Amino acid sequence: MSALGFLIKKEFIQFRRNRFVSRLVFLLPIIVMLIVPLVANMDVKGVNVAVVDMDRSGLSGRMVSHLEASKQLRVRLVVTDYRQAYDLLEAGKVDVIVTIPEGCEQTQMLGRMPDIKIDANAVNATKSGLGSQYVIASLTPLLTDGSAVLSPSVRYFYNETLDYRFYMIPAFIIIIIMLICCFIPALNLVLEKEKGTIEQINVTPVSRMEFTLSKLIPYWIIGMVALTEAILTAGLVYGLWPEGSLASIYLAALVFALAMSGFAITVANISDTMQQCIFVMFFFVMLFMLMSGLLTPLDSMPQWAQWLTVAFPPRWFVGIMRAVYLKGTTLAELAPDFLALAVVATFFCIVAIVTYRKQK
Amino acid sequence: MADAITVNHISKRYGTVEALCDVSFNVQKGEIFGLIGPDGAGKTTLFRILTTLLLPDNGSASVDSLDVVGDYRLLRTRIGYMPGRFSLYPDLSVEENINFFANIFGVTLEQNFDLVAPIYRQIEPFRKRRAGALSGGMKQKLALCCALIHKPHVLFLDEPTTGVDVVSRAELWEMLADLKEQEISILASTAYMDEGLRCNRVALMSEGRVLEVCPPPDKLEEYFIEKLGNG
Repeated sequence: MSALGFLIKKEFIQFRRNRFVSRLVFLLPIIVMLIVPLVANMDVKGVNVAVVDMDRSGLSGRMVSHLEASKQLRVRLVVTDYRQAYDLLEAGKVDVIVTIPEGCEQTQMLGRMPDIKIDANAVNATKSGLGSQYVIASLTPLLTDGSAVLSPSVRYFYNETLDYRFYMIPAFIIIIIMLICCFIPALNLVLEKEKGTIEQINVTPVSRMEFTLSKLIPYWIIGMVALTEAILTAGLVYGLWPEGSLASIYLAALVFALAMSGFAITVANISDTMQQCIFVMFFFVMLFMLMSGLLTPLDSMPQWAQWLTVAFPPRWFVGIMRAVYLKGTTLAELAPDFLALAVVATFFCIVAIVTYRKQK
Repeated sequence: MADAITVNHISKRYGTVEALCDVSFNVQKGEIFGLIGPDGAGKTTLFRILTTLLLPDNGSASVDSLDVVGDYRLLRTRIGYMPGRFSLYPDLSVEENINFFANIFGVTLEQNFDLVAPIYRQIEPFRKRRAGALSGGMKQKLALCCALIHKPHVLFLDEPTTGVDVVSRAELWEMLADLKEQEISILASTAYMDEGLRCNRVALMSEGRVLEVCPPPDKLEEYFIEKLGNG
């Protein structure tokens, strides 16, 4: 066995001996996959509605019952005075006000669309947006009944139920790999500095390259184990199995792990204490999470920010993961993204090796 | 016969602080050479330069006829260094630490067992214990064992007895005397004057300068204080 082999063996002994961290690393993917998709959920349920019925006709009565029948809506009250409903909106008791104007039934019988007004509390933009959509959806069949107006039929591809969970599961897998391949090796390396053990290694013939690699390889292996756990949990619990090939997921994850650990080692190299290291790491990991299309789409960012993300490893991995997981895109189709990810990975690894100074 | 260590006009500064100023001395082969001086005299800086961990600003030095800057890679296989602060892996056991350091030097405990045997026997009863859980004296013995495992030609010990009880201190110096018999040259620093007497020669250091290099005089402490007064 070479020196590298012994260094890696030492890492594994230390990892095993640190009971808390080693257990946490193996439980983390399962816990994250079990809990987070259930709570981090953009579905809007229970939109509170107030109906201002100024028409008091047969049609307006049917409209109210249609709204009541909707699964997502909860009709809180039906009043005739707009003021009353508005007060409730201000108090936060209702999210959406549907106003049925006077003469609504007559207008409809004349074959025109009545002017229904929807007011929504947009403090929670998602809830108000979706809430109004739900109102429109539940009233459309009633109002267009018998008329020539066609309601557009929308079909959502790849995530047919528009389940936010399916969109987020690949993202959580990315966060798990990021935590394991980024935080642990970096803290591990800084610990060697703080404890002074790096001094003892530095007077041995172990090269810069070997030492850095010995910090990375174990976490690539552990990262892949965590990925497997996460894929299995997502499949068994939510029934979401990757559409595309597992091979391309693992390949992308491996290149991503390489990039993230290169980044981690760089941060560790420039920090002398754990405190510094954690702070710098957190700063970047936060940017990675918010700016890589994990939570919000890339396209909605300003152009300069989109350019900046070219150097962010998760930016490429998020795209690849979602495409392979949900669309079943093949490796060949994703070649440009893979290439970009590989370039970013190479870049971070070179920086990591250059910043590791054995001799000052 | 070439000297084990040659130090030629070495200087090193950290910002405005002059850690070492024009330091020169030689250590002969098979000699125990002591660096004696108060805290802040520049002893650790000198050790770090001689063990290839730090580059000097000026001057040159060679250890075992190898330049500390140019030949650092080869030199690292020939020297053993025991830093002042315990630097082994506290979460590895005694045995695992020894095997680990042996392995990365490409040797095994068995190969150089003769050299480390007297020290190893003392820590052997604790070989399954984690290094972090050892007493101060035992930690130093383990560190010495790890520093010797690859049979170095020159051994560097930075304050090996700081924080160690009187009995263990005496034992440690006896071990060094045994090593000298095996023709290992030793450079050790200490702040304790009585330990200076166990060296063949000592260098008195203060504020980054070597005041004098001489065989330890009988009344080392008085002599040193007198020297400091003159300097």
